[in-house]
Amino acid sequence: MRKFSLPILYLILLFISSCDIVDLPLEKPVIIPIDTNDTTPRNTDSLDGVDENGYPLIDTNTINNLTQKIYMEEFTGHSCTGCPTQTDLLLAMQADHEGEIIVATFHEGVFAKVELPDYPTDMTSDYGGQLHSLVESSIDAYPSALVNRKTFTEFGNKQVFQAHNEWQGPALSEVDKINPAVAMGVGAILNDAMTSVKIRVSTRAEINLTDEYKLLVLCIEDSVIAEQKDGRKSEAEYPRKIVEEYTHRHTVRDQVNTSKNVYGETIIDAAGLTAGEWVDWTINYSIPDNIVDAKHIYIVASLINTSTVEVVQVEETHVHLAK
Amino acid sequence: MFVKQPYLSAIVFIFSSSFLWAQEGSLDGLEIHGNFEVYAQTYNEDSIIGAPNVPEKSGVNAFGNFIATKGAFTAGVRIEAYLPPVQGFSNNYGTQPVGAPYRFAQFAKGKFDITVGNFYEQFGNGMILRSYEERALGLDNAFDGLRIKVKPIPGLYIKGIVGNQRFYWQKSTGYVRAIDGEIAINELIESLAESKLRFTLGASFVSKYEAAGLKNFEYPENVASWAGRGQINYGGFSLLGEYVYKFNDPNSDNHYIYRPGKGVLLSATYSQKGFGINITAKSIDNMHFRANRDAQLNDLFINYLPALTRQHTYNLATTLYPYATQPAGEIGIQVDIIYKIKKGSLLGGKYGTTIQGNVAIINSLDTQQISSPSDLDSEDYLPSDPSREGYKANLWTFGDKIYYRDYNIEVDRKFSKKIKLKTSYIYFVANTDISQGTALGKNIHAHIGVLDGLFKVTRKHSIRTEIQHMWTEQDQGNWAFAMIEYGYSPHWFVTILNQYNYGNPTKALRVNYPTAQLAYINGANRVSLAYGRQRAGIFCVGGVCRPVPAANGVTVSLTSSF
Repeated sequence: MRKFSLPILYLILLFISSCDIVDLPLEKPVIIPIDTNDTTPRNTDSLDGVDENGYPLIDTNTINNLTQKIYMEEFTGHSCTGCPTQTDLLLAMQADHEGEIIVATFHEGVFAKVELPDYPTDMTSDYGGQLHSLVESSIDAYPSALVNRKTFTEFGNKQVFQAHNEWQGPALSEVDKINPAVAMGVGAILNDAMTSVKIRVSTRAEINLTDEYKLLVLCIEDSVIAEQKDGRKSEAEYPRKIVEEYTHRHTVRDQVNTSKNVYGETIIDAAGLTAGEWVDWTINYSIPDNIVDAKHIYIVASLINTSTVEVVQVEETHVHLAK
Repeated sequence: MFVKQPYLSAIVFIFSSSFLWAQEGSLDGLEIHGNFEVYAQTYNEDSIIGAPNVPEKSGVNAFGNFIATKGAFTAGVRIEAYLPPVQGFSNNYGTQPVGAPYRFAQFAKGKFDITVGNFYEQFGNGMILRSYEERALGLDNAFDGLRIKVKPIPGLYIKGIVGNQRFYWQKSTGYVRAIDGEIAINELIESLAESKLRFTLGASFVSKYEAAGLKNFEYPENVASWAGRGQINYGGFSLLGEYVYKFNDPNSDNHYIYRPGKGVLLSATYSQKGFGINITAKSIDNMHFRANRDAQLNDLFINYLPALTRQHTYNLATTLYPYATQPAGEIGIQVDIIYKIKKGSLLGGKYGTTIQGNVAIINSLDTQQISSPSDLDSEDYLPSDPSREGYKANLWTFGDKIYYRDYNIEVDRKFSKKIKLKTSYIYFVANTDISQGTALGKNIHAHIGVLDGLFKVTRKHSIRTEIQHMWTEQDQGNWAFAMIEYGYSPHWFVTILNQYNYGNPTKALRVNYPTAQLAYINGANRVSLAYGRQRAGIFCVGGVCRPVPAANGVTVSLTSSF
């Protein structure tokens, strides 16, 4: 027996040491800080000069026709204590997938009401109110978000997702979806007086489209400084945890379409559009009064299939100053 | 990614071994055994049954085993050919048409048994380690490395292995190191040698090494697992149990969670003349254990989870809704009873009657999700689940979701020297969304009746018939099956069969699947030629399954051993 003991002991020791136990697979990440002064375009800018009327021209060779981007519409409010944490997670996910995720934030619902003296700023918008009414029955808590306005059977058959833990899954499931139905290019040129924006949205069918599609164009102001309750802050430094100069990202200010339908206006009728064909849409848009700084305006254009009411493509662009 | 397998080395190895023996000057006692098998199929496009247009028009799977034994030495090699692989077998086999993926040399004498090269091995019931070949499934996870078996004293058996596993024509990147010990108490203690009460105890330890992967997580590169087992026999009673525990093993099957895996198997058997009962219970949680953490389907399993359902033999029951073991998690119980009614009794008849009943109940485990699979797949830090446990589960509690039910009874009776009848009733409740990955959203309830009759016309001539019918309102609806087989003993068999999906809800898919087969058997050689339609389905052996595609064409099969 003795002559077998050593090799057996060796084997037992070898095997017992052959096990790694991992307690924390991933370190808790540091939230990616947001550069609130950065208003550089995040879109692959497709401007190719202007036409004779001063509307931007889209460079059809450089627009994105590889992937379907993800449109995240977030509902939040300035008195919502937990919203900033979740919004930061959303923005970190957006930063991780730069150029793939486009965010529009609506200040709507019970936490978005103007209440003096703590919450004097009205961040709501007519369009936001309209969309909020449409999905309000599915909103159980704030912040909540829509992802491409889709209902995800694989994520609880839901269309509205509460907080990052819920919306992250559906959003990431949409990342890098290739072969989009359409390619879009958006151009927006701010006039010298900063009172209007000439906008062009060019849409090309990548496959034969057989449904009706509506184009929804929104005016978004980024980096709006206003009050926000933030549960992460200390009462000592921020009474009632209200940050008076909080930077609000991607704030939806107005619907650009002249038709105020919640899905926008029809640009492809029920007869559809043949693959390779273009639809051009332009508007000379007057900047609304609620815009604080016109240089912070983004134009977000999304195309919605009216049968499924899902977003099939979305693009955004930062306004350009006229040359 | 994988280590290339130079198959020529096997041929060199075998021939050099023979050469060395020849050098010693004596081939006395050298024995060479082996077997061949060829399975070939031609393909015609048949859009009604979904048989595709296969550009190659045919597929051939073939192999030959050659095993040479001389005294304490054994050496062997298996040559395999896929020209190209038969449809339904992995295309990975087609990456190399011919090769020798299996070769070994073994020395077994006295207390030692040493194998270098390829070998198959099983510890206990296999829940912690089992490598095996199941040709019908295209499954072969043989180890390639070193195995030492030692029997230091009577009643003590120790096995140690190290190696990687076969991955078609390549090898796993992960290495497996394992040791197993078993004590047969009645052999160890001389005074108990003749006792009716017999004990066996065993324990295993398995560790897998695989370099860290490409994901952001901190991977456990060494994943360990242990198991303990015991068996008690007393006369006709037998009680067996095994428990297995696997440490954190994030892999593609479990969405890279770090939750440990667990499994338990308990089995009690009682048998006496004319009666036997077996009750087996099993519960499994997160027990995918593979040599490569990103392996899929049936590839590179280190362990095997025993099936808890009866292995049916009749066509409709075998291939339409069989159950595939769910290593991710399942809990179930099976009761199997066999009773032989005495010869000469009123019920037993002149030759006796055998009744076999079997019930299998399998459900999901009772689990509570902590993180959704999509959260886990995102590779993000999860504040609510920082240790990436994924879910909580109770190994001993049935969950709500039905995975499978199988209630069946079979009565087998010989009426005379010429007539024998067997009849079966089977009732399945199958959650194919779990076992076959469908998206029906509902369980399939299927009733099957079988009548199997054998009529020996004369000593040389016999006729066997099978009539089967499946009633179900779900999926493809009702099926009927009929077969007649004429045997001209001892060499020739002619079979004609047809399956008819007359109850398919889609009229265009109410299709017949006729097949005719001619077989010739001579000793250890069997040749068969068949022509007909093969229905798409799923084929399982021991709870491990592979899809079988629809086909229309000629099938040739040849098996031979020497």
